[in-house]
Amino acid sequence: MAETSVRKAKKIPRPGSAKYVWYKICRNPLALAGVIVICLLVILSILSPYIMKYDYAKIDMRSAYQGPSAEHWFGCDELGRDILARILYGARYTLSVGVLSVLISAGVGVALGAVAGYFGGAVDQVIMRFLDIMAAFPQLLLAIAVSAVLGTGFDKCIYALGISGIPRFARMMRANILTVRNQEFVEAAMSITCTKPRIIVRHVIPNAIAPLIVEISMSIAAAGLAASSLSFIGLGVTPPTPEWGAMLASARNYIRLYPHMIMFPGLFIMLSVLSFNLIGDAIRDALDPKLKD
Amino acid sequence: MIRYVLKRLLLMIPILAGVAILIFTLMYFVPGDPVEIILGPAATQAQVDTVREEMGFNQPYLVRLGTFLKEILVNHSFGNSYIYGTSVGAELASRFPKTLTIAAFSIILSTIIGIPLGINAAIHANKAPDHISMFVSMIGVSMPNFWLALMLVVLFALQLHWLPSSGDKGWNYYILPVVANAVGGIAGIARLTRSSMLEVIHADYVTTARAKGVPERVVIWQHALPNALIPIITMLGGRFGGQLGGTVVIEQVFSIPGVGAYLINAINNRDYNAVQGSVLYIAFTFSVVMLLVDLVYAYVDPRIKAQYEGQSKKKRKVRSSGKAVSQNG
Repeated sequence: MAETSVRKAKKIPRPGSAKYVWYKICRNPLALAGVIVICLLVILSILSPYIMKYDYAKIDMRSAYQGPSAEHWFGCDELGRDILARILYGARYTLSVGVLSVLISAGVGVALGAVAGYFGGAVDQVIMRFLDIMAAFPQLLLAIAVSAVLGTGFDKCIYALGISGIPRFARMMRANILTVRNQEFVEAAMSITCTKPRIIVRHVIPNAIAPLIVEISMSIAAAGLAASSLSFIGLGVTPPTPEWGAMLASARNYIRLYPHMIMFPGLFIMLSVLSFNLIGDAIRDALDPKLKD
Repeated sequence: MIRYVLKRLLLMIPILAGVAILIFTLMYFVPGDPVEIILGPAATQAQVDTVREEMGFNQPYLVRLGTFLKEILVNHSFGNSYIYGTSVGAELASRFPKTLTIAAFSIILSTIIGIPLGINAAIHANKAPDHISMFVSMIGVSMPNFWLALMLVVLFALQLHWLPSSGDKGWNYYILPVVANAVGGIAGIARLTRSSMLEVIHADYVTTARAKGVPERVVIWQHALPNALIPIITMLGGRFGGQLGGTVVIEQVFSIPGVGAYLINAINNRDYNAVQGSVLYIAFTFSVVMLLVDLVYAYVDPRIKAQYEGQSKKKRKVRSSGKAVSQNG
């Protein structure tokens, strides 16, 4: 009782709510920095065609290979394109591949895991054995194999990474469902003749999904890294699209003479993945009281 | 214990068969085939059709799948590369040790550096050394390994000339690839070690050990660490998979002729046999490592061991005398 009133006096939201997560992020300077970096990158990426002095695709052979200067902050690439402009424009690819592919993995994984966990029996066996097979591949290798089938491109890169992440989410969801399914409120819903789809959608999934939110936020960072790896080996987004991994792939041919072309795209991959990781860490602290120390 | 090992070994068979079928099916759906690449752009449609017929690309899915599985089971071969005509199995056998070397040394390096780092952070939890090492390790997990590899090449190979930048002519060619591949692992293992140490460090048995005057070093390494080790061991298996995947990319940076380089080249040439072979090699290795991890896990975790030993002991005792069973409960 006393604790509740203290919380009210300080205006601390109820633990577990979205507001509480936001409250915790605001109290964590590193996580807040992460949120700001991601927001800035998104805004700058959208505005970059209007605010940048140079076009990201404009070829200017006279300034090819130029190092960083007041004119071109991050220098120019092998075709004289301004690297800063390319990085800012390219942020949209790396960031959206990370977010969208995790949405696919989580969406399909949650559905499969929920069905397997709720129905059990033969359905569970078939789904889980198939996922076991998928999980026998290292995740990046599965993404490589799938993108070998789909080919290269922005959308295909998202599908490849999305598919390769399904098993992890499905397994987690199934385990959560198994715990939630046997709790009293589900029995209560059954006793008032709730329909099965309604029980799954309204009662079981919302209660089983909370631990997955932490996993989702951490997976976005991992997916961003995997996306740049795929593009780097020539399978994801390919040049001349200014995706950061693809920029690194073409810049690596000039590593001996012009290392600045390699440094900046990599720094931005690191910065954005780091931001997602810091945010994910804060969300975990907020949602997982066990880890609080 | 033996029953557990046998059960796990038997469970491997359907998984590995499934992996083979899945990768074959994936490759079946790759648009286009290697015939046009083999014959070159000058080939006529009739030539393409003849070669396609000869190589069996016109046969139905099930027939081709059957041939593929039979080749693996009966001849232990992945067929020949469509492009080079050489045996995929022989090629992989000579390339695989290089990939495995990098992956194995990275996981070893990650473990021997990551675990002490994590323990150190946990001991100083929520103080400056903890915050610093956790932030540094967060940067470590956020860095693309291939980019780190490129930066290491710029520094140690091109500027300082201490280490070679590419190739595999000696042990010193493996230093940069292993380090680049291990950094993510070091950071990940350090973070996990910290959180699982924190979970056990306040347990009653640790307090008891301290209360009876056991030196702090012994408390940490002999009482806390073994109990914190179980989630770490589980993670090591998955990490090894990550290192194998990472090696595929790292090999590109250092031009190391391993399985990864072969795989990427084969994908670009639509060389199905080579793709299937390389992916199966890596997936099989990963599955075997996961199996070993599960066995180590069972060995370390007394609960799993007890479950199986309990059964066999019970049976033995039933045979000798009925009373023992009721005493065992």
